[in-house]
Amino acid sequence: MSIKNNWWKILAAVMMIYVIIAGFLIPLKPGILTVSPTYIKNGENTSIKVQAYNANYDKEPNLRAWLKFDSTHYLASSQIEVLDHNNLNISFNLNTQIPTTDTIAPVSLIIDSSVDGYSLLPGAISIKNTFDPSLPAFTNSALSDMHAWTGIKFPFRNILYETIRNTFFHVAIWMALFLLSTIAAIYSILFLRDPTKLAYEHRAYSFTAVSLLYGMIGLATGAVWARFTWGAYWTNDVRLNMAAVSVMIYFAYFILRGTITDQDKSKRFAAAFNIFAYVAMIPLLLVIPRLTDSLHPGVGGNPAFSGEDLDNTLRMVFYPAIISMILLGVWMAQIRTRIFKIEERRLLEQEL
Amino acid sequence: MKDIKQIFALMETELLLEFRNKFSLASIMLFAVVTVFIVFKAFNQFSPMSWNVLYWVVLLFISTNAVLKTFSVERSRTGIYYYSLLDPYKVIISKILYNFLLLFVMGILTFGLFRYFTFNPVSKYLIFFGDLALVSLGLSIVFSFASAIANGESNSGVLISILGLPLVLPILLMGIKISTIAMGITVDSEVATDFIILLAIDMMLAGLVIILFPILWKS
Repeated sequence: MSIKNNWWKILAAVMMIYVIIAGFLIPLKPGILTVSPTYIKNGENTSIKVQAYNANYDKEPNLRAWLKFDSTHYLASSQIEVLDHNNLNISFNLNTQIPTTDTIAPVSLIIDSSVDGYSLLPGAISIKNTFDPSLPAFTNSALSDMHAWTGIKFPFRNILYETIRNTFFHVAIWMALFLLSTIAAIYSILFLRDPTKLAYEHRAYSFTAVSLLYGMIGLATGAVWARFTWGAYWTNDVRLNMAAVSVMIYFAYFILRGTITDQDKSKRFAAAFNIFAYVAMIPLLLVIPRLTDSLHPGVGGNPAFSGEDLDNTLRMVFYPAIISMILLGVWMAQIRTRIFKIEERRLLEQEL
Repeated sequence: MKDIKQIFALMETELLLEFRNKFSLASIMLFAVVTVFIVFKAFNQFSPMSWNVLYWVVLLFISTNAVLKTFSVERSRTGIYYYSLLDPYKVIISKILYNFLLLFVMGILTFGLFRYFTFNPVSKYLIFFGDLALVSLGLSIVFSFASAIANGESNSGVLISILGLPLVLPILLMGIKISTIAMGITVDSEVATDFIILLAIDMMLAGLVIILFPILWKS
């Protein structure tokens, strides 16, 4: 047991602790939770109640707010009343015509503060256009001097909210799983090339076992996330169901390895089936979901992690999370392989 | 050319064996008839969608039964003779093709039975039977592989189901999706893409089985 050979285990543990601490303790950026009313019409002055999250509106004397019609048309607020650090009453002078030809125009709400930076709630309010020609013309007020938050906080995303932290566990564990199952498949190929080397088979088995464990954890963390964001533990989502199929295929591997009575044969067949399962998993998880509609990000033709989804603060925790999951997986697989070795030695001793 | 001839000769042998033992083919057909009849009596009223799902599920169970004995001959003494004589690639290709034909015919038969007992929701026959062909190819590939693995085990039937069912699931789901288009339940302009995906899955599985089969054949 030397530090020289086991430094990566320490690294894995330290990184995992870092991921858990940073992943759970770094707060979210401020953002707008809800507004009410969400349906208004032009031709009158309107006051909107805004509820925000993690905001510090009471510390900012110079709050500003806009309604965004499109990328060139903005309506500045006439008055902002700060109720407490999270709650505002914003008044808009909507006694004007509005710059849209739609009957009902969805507008976004933008709030800017030098303490919190700016936050935006897309499609926050629907404005009914009365098309009243007697109203005064619309006066556009462009955005200026927007404040951006520069500190270390996770991004605030509507629908996700605090569950954005699950990225470090759910997404990272699936990514680690791909690598571990690839290693398992490679060891299976090596074993089939030279069936006398049982060590390869033991490693393939161990890595597959860890992959299966990761798959189950991935499904469980995904289920919790889905309950919060999509409203149900299990949905009709393509990638989710294909992941379940992959896990079933890997279960079949263990059953196959266990049921065939002839030891040599069971190992060879299991290795062949492992390769089969691995190659079947790739299109199931990576190809088919991209071709059809899915609730997961990164499907329906989009890339998985654009700059919008994964900002630098998330990356700071996300990449260590993937690395530590991989290292922990390798570690667990190593321990499983060592159990095989001990069992073999014991069998040998018994024979002697 | 010689290879193709050999493959066809192997298929012919399979067919001869099948007809020599009349019970095996008849039992599969009886299984199909009974299952369809049970489904018909249990449901009474069908919607096109339930027709569709039941059709594929019945076909799936027929196929697990039909390919069960794919390698039963090889287990006996004849198997040793085969082993010394034949190239494993030709054996597996002929088995897959034979099972494909068997399942395709069974699919048409099941379709006829469903039509006879209930009604016919299919409006685009080309899409439906193309779909049936690709799905039965996929089923035949997966179950031939599973039965090659499970061959010789005491509980081979269970093992075939465990190994095969998760693998055929994507094929079957894709098949159900395409056949809803063939029945006009859903309108989809991208049916060609679906066919290509299904064909790609089939080809990928076929490639894998052909590569891995010699390992199984040796034992």
